[in-house]
Formats: sequence, C-alpha cells, structure tokens
Amino acid sequence: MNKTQLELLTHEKRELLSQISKRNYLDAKIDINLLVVDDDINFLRFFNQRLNSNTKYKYLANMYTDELSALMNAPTDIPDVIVIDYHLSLSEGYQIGEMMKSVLKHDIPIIYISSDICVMEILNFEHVITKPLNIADFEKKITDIINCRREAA
Amino acid sequence: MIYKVPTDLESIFPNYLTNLNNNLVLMLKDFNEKNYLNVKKIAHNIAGTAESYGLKRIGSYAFMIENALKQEKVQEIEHLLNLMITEIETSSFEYSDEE
Repeated sequence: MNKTQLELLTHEKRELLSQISKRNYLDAKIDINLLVVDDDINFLRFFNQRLNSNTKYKYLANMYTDELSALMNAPTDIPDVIVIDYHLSLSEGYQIGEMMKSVLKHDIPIIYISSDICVMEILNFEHVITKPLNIADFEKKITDIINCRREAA
Repeated sequence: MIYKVPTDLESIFPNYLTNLNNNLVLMLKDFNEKNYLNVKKIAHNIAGTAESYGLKRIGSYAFMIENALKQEKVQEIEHLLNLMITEIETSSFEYSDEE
C-alpha cells in the first residue's frame, strides 16, 4: 500500500468518524422500564395497547392488578418509573408508593394516576396524570422526569 | 348512539365490552344488596376507563354515579344506572379514529 492509498484510507476513516459524531442519538428510542399498578384490568389493557403504539420511547412494562404482587415482584426488575393508580382495592396508591420506595431502596419517580382530579390537586404529588389517560401527556411527563434526572446527574 | 372506538383498540375492545357488561351486572347486584362501597368502586373504574375506549357518555354516567354515592344521593343512582344500561343496550360501536 502506497502513501496515497494510506492517506485515502485515513481520510475515509475521518469521514466516517465525522458522520458518527454527527449522528443524532436523541432520535434513538430510549428504553423505559415501567412498573404499573392499577386494579382495573381494562385500564391496564388500554394502557399497554397505547404504550405499544407509536410512542416516543420504547416501554417495557410490568403491570399488576394487585398491589401485593407488585410489591413482591418489584425488586426482581427494578423499574425506571412507577405508575400507581391512587385508588386501589386494598389501599391508597400513596401507601403503596411509599412501600415501593422502601422495598426498592432507590429514589424512583412515581407517577400517580386517578380520575379524581380534585383529590390529585389536594394531595399535590410531584408527578400526577389524570384519567382518561392521554398517552401524549404521559410521554411528556416521562420526558420531564428524564430531563430532571439528567440535570441532577 | 354510534360510538367511535379508536382503531388501535380493535383487538381489546370486545373484551372490554364484555367486562363492562359484567361490571354493570355486578353493580346492579351490589346496589340491590346495598353494597354501596362496591358500587362506587366499579363506577370509579368505569369512569376512569370508558372515555379511553371512546365511550364518553357511559364514562360520564359512571362519574355521576360515583359522585352521587359520595354525596349519599342513593335515590339518584337507580335512575343513573337505568340510563347507563339503556345507553349501552341501544348503542352500536364502530372502529374509527374520527372524533
């Protein structure tokens, strides 16, 4: 291989490196591991359907209709974000949220969800979404959480 | 009334409709047995989900039932239950993304 060929190869490598550095990684879908607790199976089916449609992020969702199963299984697959219905069968969602924090020993953001807008306003949680769920609003909340985490890091 | 169900929910809507009818039967039974807490719970779930499946008016009835129970206006619930059941029985459903 002569000097010119070597120069050409070097140029080619530089070009490739330049293309790679310009690649917009923000376009790539980020995996979000969700843990969802809601005692309404119809809501979970709907939510799962929408999470698998044309979403900004790629969701890996573990869904539970009862809070005890969620608590038992949470430590085996630690979620990025927890979504809890505020009105569950056995308890209030807030209690489960606190128990989750204690069990997981991680500061995981929790989004509380309810159709009862008044209750959600009174309780003043950091992350709240209301039913009927709008997937765009949910994804905006996820983006806010990701941005907040990036700023804190 | 023709309800427009979002097309991406076509695979899960028949199941939802079956569950909705089962829940209405449960709600009537609980109401007859004066298990108002159970009625409230079922109404709350219907209110939170029906609109997502395109059934806005049914969700509104469920929301009114939940509120009537909170205000202990039991006599209004029978009327609302009748309205909700009539609404479901006389409605048809089609898959469409039009509002």
